[in-house]
Amino acid sequence: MIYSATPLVENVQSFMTTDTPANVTSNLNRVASQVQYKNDRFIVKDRSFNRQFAHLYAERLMTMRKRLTKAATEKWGSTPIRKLHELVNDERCIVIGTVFKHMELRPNILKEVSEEHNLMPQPVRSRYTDTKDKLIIEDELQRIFVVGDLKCETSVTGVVVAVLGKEPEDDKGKFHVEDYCYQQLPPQVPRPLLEQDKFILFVSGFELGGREERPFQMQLLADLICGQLGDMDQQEATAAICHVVVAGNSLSESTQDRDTLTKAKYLSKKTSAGSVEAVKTLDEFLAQLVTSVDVTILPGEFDPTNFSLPQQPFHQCMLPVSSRYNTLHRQTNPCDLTVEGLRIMGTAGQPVEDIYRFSEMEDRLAMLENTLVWGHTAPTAPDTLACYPFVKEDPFILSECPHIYFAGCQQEYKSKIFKGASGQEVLLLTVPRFSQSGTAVLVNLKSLEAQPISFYSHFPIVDESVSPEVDK
Amino acid sequence: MTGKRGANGGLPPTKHARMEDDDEDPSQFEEELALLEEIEAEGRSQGHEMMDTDSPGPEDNSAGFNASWARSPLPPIDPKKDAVAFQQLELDYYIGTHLEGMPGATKGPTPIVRMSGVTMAGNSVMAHIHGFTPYFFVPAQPGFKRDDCEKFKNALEAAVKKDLRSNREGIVEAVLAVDYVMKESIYGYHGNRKVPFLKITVALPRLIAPAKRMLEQGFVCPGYSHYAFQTYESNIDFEIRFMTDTNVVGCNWIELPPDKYRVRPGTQHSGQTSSSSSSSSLSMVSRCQLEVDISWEDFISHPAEGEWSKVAPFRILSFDIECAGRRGVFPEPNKDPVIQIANMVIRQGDSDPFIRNVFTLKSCAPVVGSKVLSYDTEFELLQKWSAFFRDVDPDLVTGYNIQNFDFPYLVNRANHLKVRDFIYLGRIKNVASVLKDSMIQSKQMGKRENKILNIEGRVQFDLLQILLRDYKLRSYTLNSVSFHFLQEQKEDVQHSIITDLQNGNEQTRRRLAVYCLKDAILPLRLLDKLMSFINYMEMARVTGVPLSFLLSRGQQIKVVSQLLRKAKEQDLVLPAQKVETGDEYEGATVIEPNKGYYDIPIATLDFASLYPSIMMAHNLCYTSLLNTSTIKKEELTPDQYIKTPSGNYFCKSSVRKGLLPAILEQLLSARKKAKFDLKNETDPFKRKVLDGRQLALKLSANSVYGFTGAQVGKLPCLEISQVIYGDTDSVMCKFGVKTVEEAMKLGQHAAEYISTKFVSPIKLEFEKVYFPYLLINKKRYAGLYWTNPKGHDKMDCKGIETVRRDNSPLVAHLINTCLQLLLVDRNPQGAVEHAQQTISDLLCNRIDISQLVITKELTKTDDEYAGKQAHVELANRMQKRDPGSAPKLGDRVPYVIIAAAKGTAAYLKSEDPIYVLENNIPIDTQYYLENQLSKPLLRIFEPILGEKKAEATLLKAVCKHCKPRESELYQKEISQMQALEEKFSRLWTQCQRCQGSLHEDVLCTNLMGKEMCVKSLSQGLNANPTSQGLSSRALGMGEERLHSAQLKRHPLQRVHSYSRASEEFRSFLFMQSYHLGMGEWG
Repeated sequence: MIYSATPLVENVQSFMTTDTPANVTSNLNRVASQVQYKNDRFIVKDRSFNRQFAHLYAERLMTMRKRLTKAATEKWGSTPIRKLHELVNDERCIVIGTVFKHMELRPNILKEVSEEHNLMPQPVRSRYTDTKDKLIIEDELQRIFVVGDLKCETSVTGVVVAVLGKEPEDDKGKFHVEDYCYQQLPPQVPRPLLEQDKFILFVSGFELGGREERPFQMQLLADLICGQLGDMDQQEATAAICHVVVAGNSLSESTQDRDTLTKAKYLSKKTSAGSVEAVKTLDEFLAQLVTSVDVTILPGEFDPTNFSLPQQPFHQCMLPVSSRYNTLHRQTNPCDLTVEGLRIMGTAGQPVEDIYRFSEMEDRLAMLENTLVWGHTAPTAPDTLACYPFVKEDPFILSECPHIYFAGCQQEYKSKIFKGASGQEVLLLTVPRFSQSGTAVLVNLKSLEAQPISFYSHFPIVDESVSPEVDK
Repeated sequence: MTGKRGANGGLPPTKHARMEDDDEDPSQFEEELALLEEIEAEGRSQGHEMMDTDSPGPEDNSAGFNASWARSPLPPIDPKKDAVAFQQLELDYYIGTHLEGMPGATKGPTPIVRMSGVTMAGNSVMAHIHGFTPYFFVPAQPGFKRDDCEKFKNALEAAVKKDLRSNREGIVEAVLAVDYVMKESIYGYHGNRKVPFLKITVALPRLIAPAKRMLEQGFVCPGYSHYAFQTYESNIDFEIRFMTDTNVVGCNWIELPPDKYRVRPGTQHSGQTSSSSSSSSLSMVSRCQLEVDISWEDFISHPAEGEWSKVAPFRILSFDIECAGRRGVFPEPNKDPVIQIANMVIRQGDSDPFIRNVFTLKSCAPVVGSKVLSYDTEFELLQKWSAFFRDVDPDLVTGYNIQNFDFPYLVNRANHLKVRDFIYLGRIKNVASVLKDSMIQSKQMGKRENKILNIEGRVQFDLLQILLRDYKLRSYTLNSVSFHFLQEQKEDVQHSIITDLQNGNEQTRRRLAVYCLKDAILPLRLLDKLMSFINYMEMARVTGVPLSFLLSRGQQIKVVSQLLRKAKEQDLVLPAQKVETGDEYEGATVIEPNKGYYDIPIATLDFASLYPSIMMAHNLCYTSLLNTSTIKKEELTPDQYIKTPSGNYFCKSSVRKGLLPAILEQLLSARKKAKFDLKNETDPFKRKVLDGRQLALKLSANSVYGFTGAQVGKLPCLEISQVIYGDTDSVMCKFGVKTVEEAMKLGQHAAEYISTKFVSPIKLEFEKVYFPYLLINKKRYAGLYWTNPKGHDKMDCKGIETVRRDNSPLVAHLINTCLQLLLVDRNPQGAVEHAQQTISDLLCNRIDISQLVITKELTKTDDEYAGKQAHVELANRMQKRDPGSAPKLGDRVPYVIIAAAKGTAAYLKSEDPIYVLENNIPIDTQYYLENQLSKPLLRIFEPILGEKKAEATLLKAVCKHCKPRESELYQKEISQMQALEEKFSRLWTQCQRCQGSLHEDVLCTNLMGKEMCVKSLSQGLNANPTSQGLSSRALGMGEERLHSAQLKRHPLQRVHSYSRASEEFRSFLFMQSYHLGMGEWG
């Protein structure tokens, strides 16, 4: 896509002449696109909180074991696969189980409770890793500490892994790992060949209602998408944007008001939710977009929907204006959709954030890549990431390999093509917080190329152009 | 009688008894009574004085109350010359001994049929009919020889005798005869060939059962092999058997020809009968004026036609009792006295009762128009009433719930007070009336617990039982029933007040007496208005069963009786196994309705008596039923039989005329005749009789179909018009014309044309035009009903919630009004607005509670209900609260649904409306919206507004005031829920960590406390989003719009639920810390 940071004079002139203002712009059409949603598994039908999380883990282990057995056999041949209670000392074998990371610093709700009993308050920290963290592998019945090759730093609770090694006679209770492997990436539907360039625009973290809110850039973004900006070429290019994905945290953290629960009735009765104004702004913003292009919006951590994953779509009543258009698609987080036959999956970023807090990895794109390798979108759920107590399924398991795999609300834009063992090609994408970066991401569905597009609100005196600038 | 619970189900009485001013303000009813008195006085010169006799024993026929109350004396009869004709009302049998000169077994006990009835002059007659013996059939064993009947008889005799463990009756000969007869089974076509059957005659009806058992189990006749017989007609009631064989039908006229009957001595000297119970069977045993003996072969039974369709002047007694109950306790016969009994006696055919009196305990001021009979003791009161009862000698006894309340109470009370003579209420002098409990179960009425009191020779005709059988009403209190049928209210006096009235002075007791008299006369008025007696009598005549069977037995007996009569004519016999009533027969073809609202005339064509005509047209019957092997065997050609759409074969009437078609033909032609006579009859009473008959005939014809459960009939497709809907026996056609008149013309033509295409007598009739027409679904529609182009006759609704009783009146009213607006006023917008207004009123608690009362019948005893039901639960609770006013089995229980804690099962939310009013309990308006209003409303509005839109405009519309705050309210909810979710998640994962396992459920020593707390937390979570509304869609996916209701209720309810959730949550945390050893109790 071309972004004309320096518009051609003749094009600009056409705007200036009053003779033919309308006829030039009127013949541009938005490219059509086919959208399908596959979010059924993320929609929680019977909301029952009468259960525990064990079912979810059990289900996850059951499903993943099949894949891991295959991967392990391919990798290590006929080495026996043992359940933990079948372990024979010194026997070299494969164990498949769920990783559990023992962490001292992990926040403990019981300790928070103890605050009420005047005990030590816990320090606030952004990461909870410690050198004393230990890895444990667990199957249905037992658990055992693991030492050796499987690195604690890069592992998180909830991942299902196959490890090769043994429990030595002289170091009982520890499994010495010499090698490990994860599942094989599920097969990918061949990427359809598109005849023309079609773009999908990812944006996340508007964080309305907070101090970081950037109304002007948002307006620029809207204007750009709707074809109100730029010259003819520019508009022609933006007409090729066939879909917009708003990937979470449209509202700011500061709109969150969790105190109501602990407050006395008569105090909370009249205070209205902090998010009301922000939601209104969001509705107005979306209303601009949906008149012109399909928009998928998924909720994020701070959006007004339920807290635990999978987050349910925004309620229609909050978006009275924009939801009148059938081009607004209120969807779940995580979200699974196909646009023009390309499978797109992603979240509003909570799983990646959670992995960051509980591992020592730095690169969010690598974490995102890891979840793809592990075959599980949100391994730390339910342990440290709130999650609905599913019973018969684990909807976060990746059963099909997407073409685009994104995480919203990230620190920075990064992208990468991941190549799978059996020829899968996945575009990994971290979508930055718009409130921090003023950046959205354009992905060409034809070529699977991604490019960020940033908006600045400070007007450089040297530059008289009001057109958007491209950062590359 | 307010204490009576039999008809519970109405609304609380709003009027309270006024005691002060009744002298200045005599009720309308009292004026009425006074008027009756005057009329009567004109026709009578004699004054009536009460004759004081010594305690009248039950043997005494004259209690001497009033000469005009007793029956007129019997004219002299010479048995040699005079024939006696009487209309028999009650027919039963007893076991007696053989009477010299009569047919039948001469030794041992023998059944004697007893008929009681009334002559045209009003004299009561009892006839003992001798010599008829019970029998049944078995098909003869293959190869059985005619001559071996005697051998067979002896063998069976021996077997049956052996089976009789003790022979208390002194049976000399159990099996009287075995005859070799040629008969044919009714089931299936057998090529018109009769086969040998054995007719087995036994001494007593009760011997049929053992004989049948012996034969069915397998029986060896000497010289033949072991053989299990199928028995035929062994399950027929003896009365029906007798009536069939003698051509007696219920309530017909019996003539005793001269010189054939014997009059029992004492008959003509009423009042002087010797009281000694002689051993001679010829002495008088009854209280009837005339008592005769006759052989079963000698009397004449007149079919109810022409002159013999007249009705004798029966005496009908209606009575009502009052008891002085204690506060809050339902009167119990061994504690609470009977204080008043009001009586009304009318002669059938008269317009007013000729006896009106009230028996009171303690003095009572006179009531004009009625005789007041006061007694000082209850003993005397009961004794005198019983004497009065015998003296009046009613043929029919009626009242309101007398069967289950008044009679049982009187009998129990009399037994308690040891009023020995009381229980001799029947016509047989030495038979006392004894109470029994019975359960009756029928498809029509469900299961009921009834009390049964035997009163020989009199028919108990409880109005309540009739209403329960024949009318579907919301409430069966006498008050609401009389309002429903007579538009007449009666005051309801609470039973605690009754005691106060009784304990006052003679004026207050008079007050009560007037009330009691009113309760006695109302049943008579209702019976008259509903023509119940006439209709029942005609039904008895048409179907041939005794009158009392109609009230005490199910539907089947009526068809069996008819079938048996017809079968006998053709030498057919009925197998004893239950005649196949196809338990689930497929309905006729229903043309899928084109749902919608039609603003043009829709013509409706109906088949006249569809099923009967089809059965007649195609000769469908048991006797004409074929199977493929019969067809082969009998070499029937295809033109001799037909195949029904359901794949059954029936032979045509040329091969064998079916029995059922014959019955139907007879019924329908009789109906035609009755209708014809009705047209020409001017006498109002005779018109009543004829109308009752044609109705009975119609019902019987239809029940023949129901009995067989035959599945036939298919509507041919009508291609000349657009059929928008076709039901079992009618089609709705859209001819596309604009006026009712044109539609009618076309409908007429169509009907005539199509009728020619059918086998006679199947006939399509044009009946009506609907315009406009709202077609909702199969069997559900509404429309204005036009039979002439000038104006619509009525609004016709089928299958719409205007009539169902387990809906609250609110639903019926709302739907009715909406339909009015839609159809009559053609104002859909107005209808929508009305519906919205009503919903809003409901949610704002502006609906009167009476509109919300749901009634349901308590049909089974509690433990038989598998699932918990609201009304049953309520009945149990009321039983605990106050056994006196708790509903009883068979009552309709009124209740409302009250607001209760979240998650309370619906059946626990039912409450007595009065209790709700008294205790100011909030109503669960949400329940009414969701479970009562929403579906019916959507049904009628969907065809008009479209599915989605109907729901949106009616149910999901957000209230005006909350609409702008919708989003805000939602967000507030959601933020609270998020907090709960987070805690939920963190707590459970922490528990997992403590436990050290991910894959196993947390089992903690602290389980109990935790389980409970987590449960409540979960409940908080579960409840918050879903039932509280907003969040329901919240978490749930945002498809639908919010419920207005939920928004409106928001402030109060929601806060409550949250505070609960958070409190529970805290207690959970507390348990957790205790678990860690950090907490301290207290």
